[in-house]
Amino acid sequence: MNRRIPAAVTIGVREFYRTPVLVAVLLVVPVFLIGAFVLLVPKTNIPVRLGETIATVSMPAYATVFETAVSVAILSGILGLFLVLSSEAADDRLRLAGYSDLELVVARVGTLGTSVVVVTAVTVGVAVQVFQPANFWAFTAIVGLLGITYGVLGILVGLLLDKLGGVYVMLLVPFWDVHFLLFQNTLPSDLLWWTEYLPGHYATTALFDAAFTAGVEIDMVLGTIGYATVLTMLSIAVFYHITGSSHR
Amino acid sequence: MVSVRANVRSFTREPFTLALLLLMPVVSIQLYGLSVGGIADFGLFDTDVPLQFIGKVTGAIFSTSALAGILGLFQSLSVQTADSRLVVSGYHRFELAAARFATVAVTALIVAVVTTISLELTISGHLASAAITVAGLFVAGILYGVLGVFIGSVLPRSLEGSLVLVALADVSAIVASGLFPISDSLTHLLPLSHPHDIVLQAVVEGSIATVHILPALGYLLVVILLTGSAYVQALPTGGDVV
Repeated sequence: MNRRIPAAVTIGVREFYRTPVLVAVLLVVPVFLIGAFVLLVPKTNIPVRLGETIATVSMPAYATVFETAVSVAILSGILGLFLVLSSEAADDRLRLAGYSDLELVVARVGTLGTSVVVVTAVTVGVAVQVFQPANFWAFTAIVGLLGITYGVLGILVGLLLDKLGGVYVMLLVPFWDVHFLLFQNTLPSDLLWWTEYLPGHYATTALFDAAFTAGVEIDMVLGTIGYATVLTMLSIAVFYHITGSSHR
Repeated sequence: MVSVRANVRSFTREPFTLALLLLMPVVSIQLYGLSVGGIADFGLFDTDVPLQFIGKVTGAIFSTSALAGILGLFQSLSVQTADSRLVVSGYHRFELAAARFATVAVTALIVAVVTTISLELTISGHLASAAITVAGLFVAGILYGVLGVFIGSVLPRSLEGSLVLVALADVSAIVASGLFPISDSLTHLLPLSHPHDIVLQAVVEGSIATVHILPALGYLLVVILLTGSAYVQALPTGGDVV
């Protein structure tokens, strides 16, 4: 097996360890977002759309599932952005050491995957302190898939924009997408048809199924995987385009 | 004054920042209005005002605070080294802190005016008082702009600082929206509660929410004092070598 890729992944992950403030923020944000809403929302029951049916769930449980999705989306998006912005110089050095663009792409995807696993574990770890999902493993897997989707989106945004622009986009899009538009989709409401095309749509729908029912709609899981795959392909194409132009 | 003008110019020169400044309020107001306004009434919400209005005002407050806050944070990070050098070359630390606050105030005013125009356009001329709305949004903007400087002083890292700032703005905007029956003693602890009530009353009734003016200004004063102290502490003293 090519040992160069694990070495590059290790370097990338170490880059995160070297920024303890980022690690601390990764721990604090899920506690703050999930904790604040669980404490503040009224302890009443609300109707929630689960597939074709409407079920009644408690508001704190609803808020926990929602904030789990928001936390993982925003943290993974920022990690993806951080990964691109912090690894430009390292990538140039690795290229000089003989790494191909393909090896760099695989290494960066590996670093992102490792980071998303950590973010997922922390966020789900916080969520289960106040809520037990009906299907724990499906719930955790979907949180991870949502993290991958937003992490890749962070990479794409980091490749296309500068730091200030990237920070704005990656902090605001998850809040707009997951927090507000999909908040509406999971409650009985006039659905906005175009929200089906948002990055968090499939994952959030599947997450609510896994949180409150034993089964998960396979269409939604496939949609989540498909969305993440398309974004990954697009990011790789943009990466090749940018690195190709800069080395010409 | 020269420093303030240079700082404001350095942000408005960036085409992407300028585009965000113009687009973000409209997008945020529309999305929040659509999202909250579309939810069926099943007894969850604790308000007499139409949900779409609440959503749009919440979107306006969120975009003002997030925009002004991140600009405050990036401004504070980008001038830290320069300010340290200015201290060594004889500027007083309080003078520099005052220049930061003045820049935040100018930025917050620009953001508040753009957001009010966006609000006027998206609610089709139903804005009862544009002047009071600008004033309420200005308070929200300056509050978060100063908080951005505070976070930049105690956590001088752009990504992590922005994350903390926007997470706080989001929770604060939703809690302040008044949609959920949360005790006032809790909601008023968060920065946006009083400015939200000032803006909502300005938009719906066109009058000044006098009961919220003093608490909002008091909150702002406390944040300015805390931030001024943190900013001055972060700078070297005149005798330090940078």
